[in-house]
Parts: sequence; C-alpha cells; structure tokens
Amino acid sequence: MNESDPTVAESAPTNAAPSFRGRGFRIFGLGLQDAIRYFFGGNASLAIILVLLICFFLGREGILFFPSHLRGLQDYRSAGQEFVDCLGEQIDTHTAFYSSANIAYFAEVNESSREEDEILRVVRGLLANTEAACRKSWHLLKRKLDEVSRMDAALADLEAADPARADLVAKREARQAEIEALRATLRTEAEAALAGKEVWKLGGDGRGLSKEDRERIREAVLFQAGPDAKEEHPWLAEVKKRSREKKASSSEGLVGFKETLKEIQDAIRPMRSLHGDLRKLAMENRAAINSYVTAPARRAAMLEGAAKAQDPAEKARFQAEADKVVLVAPDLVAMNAPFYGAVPKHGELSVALLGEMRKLQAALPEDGGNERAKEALRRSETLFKRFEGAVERNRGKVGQWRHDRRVPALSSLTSFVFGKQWITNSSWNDFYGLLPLFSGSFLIATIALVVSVPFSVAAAIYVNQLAPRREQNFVKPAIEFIGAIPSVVLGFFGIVVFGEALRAVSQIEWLSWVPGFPMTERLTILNAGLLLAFMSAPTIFTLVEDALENVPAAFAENSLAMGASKLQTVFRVIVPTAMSGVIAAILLGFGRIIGETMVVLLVAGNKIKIPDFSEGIGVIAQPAHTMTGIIAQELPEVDSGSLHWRALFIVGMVLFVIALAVNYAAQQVLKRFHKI
Amino acid sequence: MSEAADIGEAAVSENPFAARRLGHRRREKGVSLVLRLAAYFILGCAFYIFIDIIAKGAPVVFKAAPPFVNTEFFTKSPETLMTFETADGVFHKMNFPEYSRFKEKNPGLEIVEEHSHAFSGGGIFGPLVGTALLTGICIVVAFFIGLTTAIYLNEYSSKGRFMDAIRLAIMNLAGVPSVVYGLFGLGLFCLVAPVITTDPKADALFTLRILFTDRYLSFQGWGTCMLAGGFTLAVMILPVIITACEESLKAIPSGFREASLALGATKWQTIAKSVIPYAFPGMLTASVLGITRVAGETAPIMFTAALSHKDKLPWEAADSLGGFFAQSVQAMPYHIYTVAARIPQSEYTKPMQYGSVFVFLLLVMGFAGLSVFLRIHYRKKIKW
Amino acid sequence: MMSDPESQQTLSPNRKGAEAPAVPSDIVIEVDDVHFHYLKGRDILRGVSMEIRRGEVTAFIGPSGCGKTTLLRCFNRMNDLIPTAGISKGEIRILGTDIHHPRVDVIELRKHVGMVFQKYNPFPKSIYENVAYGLRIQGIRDRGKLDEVVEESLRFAGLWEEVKDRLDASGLGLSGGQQQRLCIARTIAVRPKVILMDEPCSALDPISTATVEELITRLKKEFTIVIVTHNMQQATRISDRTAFFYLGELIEMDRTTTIFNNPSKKQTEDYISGRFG
Repeated sequence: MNESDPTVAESAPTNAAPSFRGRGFRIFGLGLQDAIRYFFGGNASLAIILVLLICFFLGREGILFFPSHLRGLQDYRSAGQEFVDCLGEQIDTHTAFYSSANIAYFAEVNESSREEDEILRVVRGLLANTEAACRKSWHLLKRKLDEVSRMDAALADLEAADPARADLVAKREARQAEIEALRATLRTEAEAALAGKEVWKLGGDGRGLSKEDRERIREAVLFQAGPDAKEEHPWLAEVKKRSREKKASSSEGLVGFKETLKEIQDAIRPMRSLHGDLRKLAMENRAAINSYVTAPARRAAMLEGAAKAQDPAEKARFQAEADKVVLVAPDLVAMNAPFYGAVPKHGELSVALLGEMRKLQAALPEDGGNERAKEALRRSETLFKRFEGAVERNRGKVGQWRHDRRVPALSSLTSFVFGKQWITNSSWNDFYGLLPLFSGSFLIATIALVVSVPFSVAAAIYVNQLAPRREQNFVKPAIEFIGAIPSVVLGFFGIVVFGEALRAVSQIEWLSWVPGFPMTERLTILNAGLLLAFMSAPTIFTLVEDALENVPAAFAENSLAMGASKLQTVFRVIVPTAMSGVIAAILLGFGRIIGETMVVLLVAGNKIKIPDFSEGIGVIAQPAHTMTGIIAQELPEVDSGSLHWRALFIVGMVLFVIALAVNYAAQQVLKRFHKI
Repeated sequence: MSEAADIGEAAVSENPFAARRLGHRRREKGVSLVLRLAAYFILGCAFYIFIDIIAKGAPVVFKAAPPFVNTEFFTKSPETLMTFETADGVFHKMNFPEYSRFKEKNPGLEIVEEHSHAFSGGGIFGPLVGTALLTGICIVVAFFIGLTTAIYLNEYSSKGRFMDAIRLAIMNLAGVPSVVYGLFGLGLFCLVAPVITTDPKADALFTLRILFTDRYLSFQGWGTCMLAGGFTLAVMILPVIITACEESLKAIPSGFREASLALGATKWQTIAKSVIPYAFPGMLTASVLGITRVAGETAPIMFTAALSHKDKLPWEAADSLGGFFAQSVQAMPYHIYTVAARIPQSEYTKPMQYGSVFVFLLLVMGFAGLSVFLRIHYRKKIKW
Repeated sequence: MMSDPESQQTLSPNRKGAEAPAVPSDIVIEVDDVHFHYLKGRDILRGVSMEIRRGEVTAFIGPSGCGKTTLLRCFNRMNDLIPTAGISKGEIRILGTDIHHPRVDVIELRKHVGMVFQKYNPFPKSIYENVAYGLRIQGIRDRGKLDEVVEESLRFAGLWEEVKDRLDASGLGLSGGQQQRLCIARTIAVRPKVILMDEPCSALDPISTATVEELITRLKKEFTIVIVTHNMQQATRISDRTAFFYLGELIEMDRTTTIFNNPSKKQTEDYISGRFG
C-alpha cells in the first residue's frame, strides 16, 4: 500500500541496481508521507472528538443540575411551600369549576340580548375603524377642541376683569369656525370610509344583521365619529337600553343560578384565607432558608473585600458586614410548626367545603338553554370531578406531610422528566418539569409528520416513478430548493401571514367540523405543525426519492413483463421494496422536526402549559411551548451556572438523546434495507 | 376476472390483447393525478410564500426612480424609527438620529402622536456584514476540517474500528438539532476555549503560564463573539461538508490515482496533483451548499455571536485583528427574528420586516441556486 | 402503425379473414420485415422476418449487439419503456394480431407473452407471493385458487419439493438456480402463450444450468418458448429451431440440427465454428 514506505525498501543496495530506498527526512521513524497521513487522520478524528465534547458539555451540566435541583426540592418541602401548594391546588380547581359555571350563567343571560349585543359590538368595531381611517382629522379636531375649552376656561377666569380680552374672543371664534370646518371634513371622511368595504371587515362582519340595522348602524357611527360627540345617538342608546332590559329580565329567571354561583364563591373563602396566611409564612421560611444557603458565599465575598480593601475604615466596614452574615441554620421545626397546627383546621375545612360544594353543584341547572351554556355546564361537570379529586387527595397529603422527610434522590430526575410545570423566575418556587415542553414538541412534530408524510411520499413516488423525465428534472430540484428556505423566514411568514390566514380559514362556517376550529389564537400548535410539515417535506421527499431510486430497475422490469400496470408495479413491488428506506426517511424527518427551533419559537405561541387534551384533536388549536423554543427563548436571559441555566442544558441533552435515538433507529431500519 | 387465469385454455379470441378493464385504467390515471397533485401542492405552497414575500418586500428594496434600489436600506444599520405629528397636523417619519436633530432645530415644537418603532428604520447593512463574516469564518474552518477529513476517509483509511467510529460520529453529528449546537458552542467556545492573555479571568477552567513570558494560556472562553459563532456554525455544517467532499472524491476514477502512483508519485503527490484538482468543482459546490445552510441558521448564533443592536460596524469598533474577531455582530437571521417577534408590531415595522426577509431569502436562495447550477454545470462538463 | 378508426373497428374479422388461410394455426409469432431503432434514424434491427411455431423452443444466437435481445424484447413490447425507441417499419403479429395496433393493450399483451430475464430477480417477497404476484395483479384474491396455481406452477418448475415447507420464506433466500426457477414459476403462473427467455442461464453455475435447461424442455409441451443464448451448446441441447443474427439482420433461421450441421450461409458457419463472436 505504502509505495514509498522506507521500511519496505530496506534491501541492500548494490552499485549496479537502482536503489529503491526511500528518500526524504524522517523523524522518530516517521516519513513525510506518514506525517501527512497522521495529519489527515487527526483532522478526521475531530468528528469523534466533537461528539464526545458535545456529550461532555451537555453531560457536565446534567451532573451539576440534578444535585442542585434536589436541593431545591428539599428546600421547597422544608419551607412548607409543598404544604401550601396542596391547599393551592384545591383552590385552583375550585376556581376553574367556578369560572366555568360562571361562563354558563353569562351565556344564559346574554343569550336573550344577543341581537342587541351584536349590534353594539359591530358599532364599537366600526367606530374604531372609522376613527383609524380619519385619524388625522380626528386628532386635529380633538386638539382644536381642547384649545377652545382651554380658552373658554381662561375667558371664564378673566370674564369680568379684563374687557381687553376681545382678541381672545375673536381667536376663539376663529377656532370655532375651524372646528366646524373640521367636523364637516371628518364627516365626509367618515362617510367615505364607511362606504368602503374595508371598514366593515370586522370579526363577524355584522353579517347576521338586517339591512335596516346596517343602515342605522352607519348613521349612528357617523353621528358619533367625532371626538366631541357628547350624547349618544338615540337609536344606539335605545339599543343599549333594550339590551340591558333584556339581560335584566332574563337574569330574573336565573336568580337561583346566580345565588348558587355566589354561594360557590363564598364556600371557598375560609380555605382561601387559610391558604393566604400560610403562604406568607412559607415565603418567609423560604427566604430564610435561601439566605442560609447563600450565607457562606456572601460571607466569603465580604471577607475577600476586606482583605483587598486598602483603607482601614473600608476594611472594618467589610469585616462588620461579614460578621453580620448569619451562618446559623434556621430552626425548621419552629418554622414549620404553624403548618402542623393548621392540619386539623384544614381537614375540617376540606370536609365542610366538599359537603357544601356537592350540594351547590347539585343545585346548578342540569342543562343550558343554548349551545355555549350547555358546553360550559358540561365542562364544569368534569371540572367538578377534578375538584373533588383534588380536595380528597390533598387532604390526605396534608395529613401526612412532614417537613423533614428527605426527598429521594431519584425524584430529582423524576420531577424533571415527569414534572407538569415549568415555572422560572418565580417569587414562590421554580419548577423544572419537562412535560409541558415535551408534549408541545411532540404534538407539533406529530402534526407535522401526519401532514407532511402523505404529501412528500406521494410526491416522491410521482417524481421518481411516474413523471416524465422533463418534469422530473424540474420538480425534483424545485422541491429540494424549498429545503434551502431558512427556518426563520418560514417562522416570520407564519407569524405575519399564515397565522392570520389560518385563523380566518378556521372561522369559515362549513369548516367548523374540523377539530379545533374555529380558532381564537393566531399562534398555535397547528400553525407551527403545518409550517414544519412544509419545512420537512423536502427532507422526507429527498430521502424517499433516494430509497425509490435505489430499488433495482430489474424489479420494475420483471413486474412489467408479468403484465402488471405501472401503478401495480409501483405499489406492489417498488414501494414495498423501498419501505425501510421510506420508514427511515420518516424517522429522520421526525428528528429534523423535533429539533427545529426558529419556527416553533416564533409560531407555536410559547405558552408553557401542557396542552389540554380534553378537547381531543381540538388540542391543536392551542398554543404551546417546545423544548427547542424554551432554550432559545430563555438561555440568553439567565446567569450562566445557575440552576435555570443548567435546566436548559438538560433540555438540550434530552434533545440530543432524542436525535441520537432517531438516528440509530433509522440506521437499524436501513440496515435491514441493505440486506435484501 | 377469474377468466384471466384461464387464458391458457381459452380459444384464441378475436383480439387477444384487447384492453380488459377500462375502469382500471381510469383509476390508474386518477391515482397518478393525485400523486402528481401532491407534488405540485408542495411547490404551490412554496410559490405562495415566495410571492407574498416578493410582493411585499420588493417595494421596500427597489424604487421607481434611479438608482432603482433603495440605497439607504443597504448602507445603514437598523435604527429606531420615530413617527409623530407636529401641531399643524403634518405627519413625520424619520430615524432616531434625524429625529433628535429635528427636535434640536425646532425647539418648542409641539409634537403629538409620537411613536417609536425599534429596529424599524435605517437599513440592513450591519446584519448583512455580520452574516457575511460569520459565514466566512464558518466556511473557512469547516472546509479545512471537512476536506482533510474527507481525504482521510476516502484516500488513506482502510476499513476498521477507527473508520467506523468516525463514520458513526459524522452520522450522528448530522442529526443533532441546531439549538443543541448553540448550547455546545456556548459551553465550549464562549466559556471554555483557550485564549492567550496577560490577565486571565478568575473563572477560567484552568490557566497555564506560557514559559519565559508573562502571558497565560487561559481556558476562559472567547465570550460572545463572531469567532465563537463561526466555529459553532462550522461544527454544525461539518457533516454536510465532509459528506459532499467525500462524494466528489469518490467520483474520481481510481485509474487517476493508480496512474499517478505507477509513475512513482508519492501518495501525497498523487492526492495533491491528480485527485484534488479534479474533485475541486464538487468541493466548491459543497461549500456553496454549506453557505446556504449556515447563513440561514439562527439558533446556533443566538447564544454565541449575535446581538440585535450595534451602533458601529465591526471594523469601526475594533482596534486590532484580535479585537475584530472578538466582537459580537448583528446577523440577518437574528435580525429577522428580532423584528418579527421581539418588537411591538405596527404598520411601520412591516417594511423593515419584509425588506429584510426579501433580501435574505434572495441571498440564500441565490446561493442555493448557485450550488444547483454548479452541480449541473460540472456534471455536464466533466466526463470520464 | 395504423390509427385509422375504421380499421380499428373492423380489426379482428378483417385480419382473420385476410390471413386465416395464409397463417397456419401453429405459427404463434410472425415477424414481418421489422426495422427497429433506439434512436431515430439508427436502425438496430434491419428487415427481420421470421415465424415462430407453437410448442417449439426457438433459440436466437449471434454475437453481442446483433439485436437478438432487442427483438426478443419487441415481442412483449418491453422496449416501450425506452422513450426514444420504436419500430420504424414492419410489424410483429402474435396470435395473428399486430401487437402495435392501437387497440392492443400492452398490459394484456404481456400477460400472454411472459418473460424470464438474464439476472434472476425474485421480488423481495415470500416465495408464495412471488408466484402469486401475476394473479394478484389480475385482481384474484381467492385464496384457494391462488394456492392451487402456486402449487401447480412450482411443481411444474420442479421447485415444489424443495420449497413446499418454506413458502413464506423470502424468495431471496434461495440459491441462484432456485431463484431462476422461481422466476420461471412466477411467469408460468399466469399461463402465458409465449415465454421469452433472455439468457436465463448465463448467471448460473453448470449444475443449476442443467436443471433449468431440463425445465425448459419440459415447458415446451405447454408453452411456446423463445430463448436468447450465447451458449451454442445450450442452443443445440434445448432448441428445435435456431435463428442466427448478425449486425441487426437475421442471417439464417432453420431447424437447429440444420443450422449447426449444415448451415447454408458462410457467416453462420464462421460463427458457430468460433471464428468470430
């Protein structure tokens, strides 16, 4: 192999025969060629070193994260915060139930005055839009009016005193004339604006309104368009009154409902006040613990300052500060005594609350009068169950709570992996739970795959198998070209154009059967999923196309020679043969999607909450946060080395592990492909 | 249907090869059409996005009067845009520096309806320069490592554990999410990478005194700077470059090497004279492809190099070569992220958004197009 | 090629009426002055005419690039897959029908004219599914019928005893000769009239070759077989008639014994005696 390897040509040279001995310098028995070889080899091994370095840098933070996370969990317990949050959960579930019942109530009440409310809503929107359209005149007029009113005030002050104010009066009159002119302009402008369609393009458009109503609305808006419209347009006032009356009369029939609601709200009061008191205590406890934990470091800093200070006075001051730092551990038993004391009371309260609430819940109306009320009532039923469960569970938890029980080391890991909350920079307690982020990432990736795979696989089959060559030469590079669109551009498109468009589409009536439609949010899981589907399409397309390309041509020939049609050949022979390639492509596409950052950061809505799966597939209309997004969003803003910073590195490590796993799975699948 | 199997026994029909199931054929056409539509649907989506961005971005970048290009947009860096109305109802829109001058010139001016729109004025010169620098550093580093690795893999190595390990590593590097590269770059280049300094930081990982000098080799990291960003991007792009370089090396027929070796050339001479020159077009394509990928990445530079606002251009802010590379820069993708999501949206931010996206997309797609063109061009030209 | 709608309407009776006396019923394939090109203007086959009889094995021999495989692939229009290729002149009639007539469905044609390739190529499916493939694409789902045909075809191909216990195993796990016989079984499962074989033994070892050759001689009882071969001994062993091609032209076609013992053309003699090729 090594043609000029000197060691090979070590034969003794004779005078006659040419010498095959290698020339050139050698160091430590290494020739130049070996040196070159090792240089290249060294560079090649960089790839391995890089992988190891990535593992090291992510892993180091991981090793440092878990102990401090455990410490945080222990402090959370020692300070009594865990105890307080048990009460908190009871209250939160109660609030959720109450607000749902409340929605049902108002849905009932407002049902009667729906027409009037719709008119008022349209008027409000139109007014805002008209004002925007005539912004300039509107502001000018407003200023002039202000001036006049200031002048009036000045005139009133000076009224009797100074007759020489005639110039002011004249000026005022001139202004008054200007105002009249401006009013006229404003009115024409407003009329022009109202004639255009743009202004009417509000949510809902007032489509349900009759023609007369629309005409009257126009008039009312024109009447009120100026900044000085003092009284309300009489028709508008009438509508308002009618709406109020209708509401009043319908709420008369719902007195019982309202009463129940009020009682529901009252029922939680004692628990709330207990919770409030204890919460304050727990926060003080936590502050004491935190200050104890950081004390040595603070003391060390002061002492260092004292050592460095030149001025003796300064030195003394630092020394005094250092001495002031308390190094005595806080008395946890004393600190937590009030919580133990509150246990019996809490037990009583819980029992009373549950009994009361069961009664009240039974008193709620069985069925709503309209769709929204029905929906809210149905929801409140499930929420009540959740509330019941929370009360029972937390009563038990509170009874068994011990501030000095050790948090098991493993829960540092489990509370990260299965934690349902990701709360940072909180004055109460930071929670680092992966689930909200993971579920968001996973949901978005799933949607993206579900949408992308059919399109990209179909496109690959078409381009590779069915398209004429000329079309192939156009479509294939064109789709691959899409892969070059930077993700931040797609994210921008999603935020500026696609989100709005998607919401508009979701509000089309005959599409309301689609789960999650109509959507209220612009930045949602669906939006991000669809954009990522588009983004991953070239990746999956290219890989699938490759897999199809690699199927030996003989298979197709054999099949065709048997009298199979082109499509039969494609679907019975070629696609099954390439199947593992297709699966690998999908896996790699999944890896791509779950690791994508910018699109989800911009478009997913960045709400750190586990999506509410109770809506079924409709969950896709909710906003979510993702693992990649949280790193990009929070990392620039946290101190390096802090717990939060490390938590973000751990999220990165989870992503890294997912990427490796996906890669590995894809390779295994491909290996099977090569065997056949 | 079953008669099809009995053909053997069937008598010779009048036209034995007449098409049998016509519905079948129609279905074939239908399925084919559906598959075709899927392909064109993807293209259609891309077309829609391009059209939207071009339609709204081109008016920002071009204008009707000579020189037809909005020069300010390309020569200024992003600035705060001020919009306000003076008492006489005249609407003004100007960048912040002009605005301060305007106010100085007209003291006692009554200003109403004043709004400031961050990053919405000026141009995109700073981000463009930053992206060019980052991409440049990245390509130089990645191309050097990538090329040498590819040469090793294709020319020197024989099968074995070491090879397998390298290949496995490259494959896995290719799948790592870009944001993880960002974390890695932050951890390694910004916080740990070695610098030579006379005054090492206290929080360096460790420091070594260089013999006979008062300088130290301190593993304290480069901080957030373009060098860190460029290196991070280089690590990210490495698998792509290696794979592409290797492919272009593989495409060189082994006869070239054998002929050279047979003439008594050394291994290195062979590689340098009869392999690399012929593989060069392919490698060039690879690096252009690399530029495309790297220029669009945001996540890796977010923590390592980019910042959203910078008054001075890189060469104005640095006094030495080291200082030049040690500063953070603005970058196009980060700038777009900033104007798209981190500032309050108003109608006055739109031109900046669309203008930036338009120019950026044009640049990246231009490079992508170039790489496709180069690939086709050289494939046509070289035949062996 | 005719595309006159009137002749389409009356294709079959006309053809039958016109040619019934001329074509004896034992002629399966008639090649009539066929010129064929891969690129327009460059004919690969020039004026080939021949008749292939029912129940015989016809061998095509000739040096590489003489057009024998091309002609073979014309018989079931496999050349349609090459966009620029086509017949420039002449026609091929199989069972009395011009196979390039617009009313001829190429898929139906291929069901009647099966093909076995040089490189055996079972699909990456089970042995059973390989043989059943032809029936499945015709829409037959009845398991009983499939079982019956699969067994029959495998028996006929002499493979049944070897594979009956592992019908669900992948066809790619068989030995080379078995794979080629599996391909033949796959072809005969649809009961074609004609089986075209493109050097079916060239990728096989001598023992497997012998098995396949033995199979071919059995096959001719049921099927008309056209085989392209490079191996002249093989042609003498298995074929009834031999056609010798040279540079795109059919030089000579006759009974195999005649061709090899007493060829009428000088070129034929040169070739079979190994002076070129």
